[in-house]
Amino acid sequence: MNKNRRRKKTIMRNEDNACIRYLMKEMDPSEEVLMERAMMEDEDLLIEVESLRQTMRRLDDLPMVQPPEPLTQSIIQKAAAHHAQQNRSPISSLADIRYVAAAAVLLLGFTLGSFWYSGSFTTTNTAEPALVKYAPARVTSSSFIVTPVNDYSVKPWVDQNDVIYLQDQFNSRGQAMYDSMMNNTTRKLKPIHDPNLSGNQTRQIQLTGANR
Amino acid sequence: MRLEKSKHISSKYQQLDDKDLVRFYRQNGDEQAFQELMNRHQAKIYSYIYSMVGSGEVASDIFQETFTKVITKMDDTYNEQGKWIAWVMRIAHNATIDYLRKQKRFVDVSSNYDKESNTDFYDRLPDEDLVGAQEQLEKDEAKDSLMKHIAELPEEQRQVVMLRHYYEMPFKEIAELTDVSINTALGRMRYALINLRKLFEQEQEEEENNYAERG
Repeated sequence: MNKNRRRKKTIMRNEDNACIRYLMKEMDPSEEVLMERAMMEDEDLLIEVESLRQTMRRLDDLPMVQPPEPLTQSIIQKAAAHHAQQNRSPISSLADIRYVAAAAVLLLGFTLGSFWYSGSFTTTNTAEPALVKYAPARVTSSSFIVTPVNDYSVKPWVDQNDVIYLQDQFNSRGQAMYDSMMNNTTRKLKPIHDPNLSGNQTRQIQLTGANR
Repeated sequence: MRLEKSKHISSKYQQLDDKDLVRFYRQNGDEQAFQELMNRHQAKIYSYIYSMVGSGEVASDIFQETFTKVITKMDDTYNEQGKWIAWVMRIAHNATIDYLRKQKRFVDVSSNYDKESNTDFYDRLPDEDLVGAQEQLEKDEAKDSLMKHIAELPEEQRQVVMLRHYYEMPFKEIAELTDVSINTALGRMRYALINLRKLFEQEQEEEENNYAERG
C-alpha cells in the first residue's frame, strides 16, 4: 500500500516537474508532443499548466535595473589599471615563465653557436697573418724571391702581384754573376734586410720606393 | 538593455561575441572590449543582486565585489571554453548568497527604502515611453505587488526564479549553481509559481473585500 503510494507520489512529482519543463521550454520535441497529448486528455493537467503559465507571465514585469554610472566607470577603470599592472610585472604567470625559459635557452644556444663559429673562423684564418706578412704591397713594394734551381741561367720574372722573381744556382761560379745582376737590377731599389729571411738559400727584397 | 555610454564604443565591438571580447581584454587589455561586456550584462547581474538583497547600497557593494573578483581572477580561474557570463553569474550568485547567509534574514525588496539615495527599487528604472499617469500608476502598483510577493518567497525558491528570469539559465545550470538536483530545482520553480499565485489571489481577495466594504 505504502509502496504504491510512494510510486504514485514519484510519478506525480515527475509530472509536476514536467509542467515546469514544458512551460520553460526545456523539453525535447517528442516530450512536448506527449505533454500536449496528455493535456488534451487530462483537463486538470491543462488547467494546472495554464495557471502556472499565467503566473509566470507576471514575472515578465520584473524590472531590469542598471547599476549606478559611477560604479560601472570605476570598475572599468579598475579593469584597465589591473591589466596595465599585469603587463608591468616581468613574470606574472606560468605561461610567462615558460616564455622566459624558452628565450633563455635560445639566447644560450645562440651565444654558444656564436662562440663556436667565431672559434672555427679564427682557426681557419690562422694562416692569414702569414699570408699578409709575406704578401708584397702592390704599389709601394715588391719582393725578390731567390730560389735555388739547377738551371744556371737566371730568369727574372714578375708575377701579377708585382713580385720580381730571380732564379739562380748557388754555386761559386754563379754567385758573382748573380750578385752583379742583382745589383744592376735593383740599383734603384732600397733593400730591406729581414733577419727572418736572411738564410743562405733565400733572400727577399721589399721595395719601399725608388732611390733618386 | 544597454547604457548610453555604449555609444562611445566602436560598433565593431558590438558585433563581437563575448568570447572574442574576453580574449581581447585578456590579451591586449582592451578597455573597450571590457566595457562592451559590462554593457551587455551589467543590468541582469545588478538586477539579480538587487532583487535578492533589496537594497541599492548593498547591491552596489556586491556588484563591485563581483567585478573586482572577475577582473583579478579572470586570468587564473576563468576557462575560455565556458561561457564568460555564466562564470560571472556564479561569482555574483555566490557573493549574494554569502551576504544573505551573513544577514540570516530574508529581505522585503519592495518595502526596502534606500536611505542613501532616497529612492526605492523602481526609481532606478529608466524613463519609459510616454504613458498616461493612470496607466503608469497601475504599472508601478503591479510591479510593486510582484516584488513584494517575490520577497515573501523562501530564499531558495526566489533564487531559482531570479536566476531563471535574469540570467535565463537552464535548469541544469541552476541545479549545479545551487548544488541541488535538477528535479529539486524544477520543483522549487514550481512551488515558487504556486506560492506566487496564492499570494496574488490573496491580494485580489483583499482588494475585492476592501472595495466591497467601501461600496
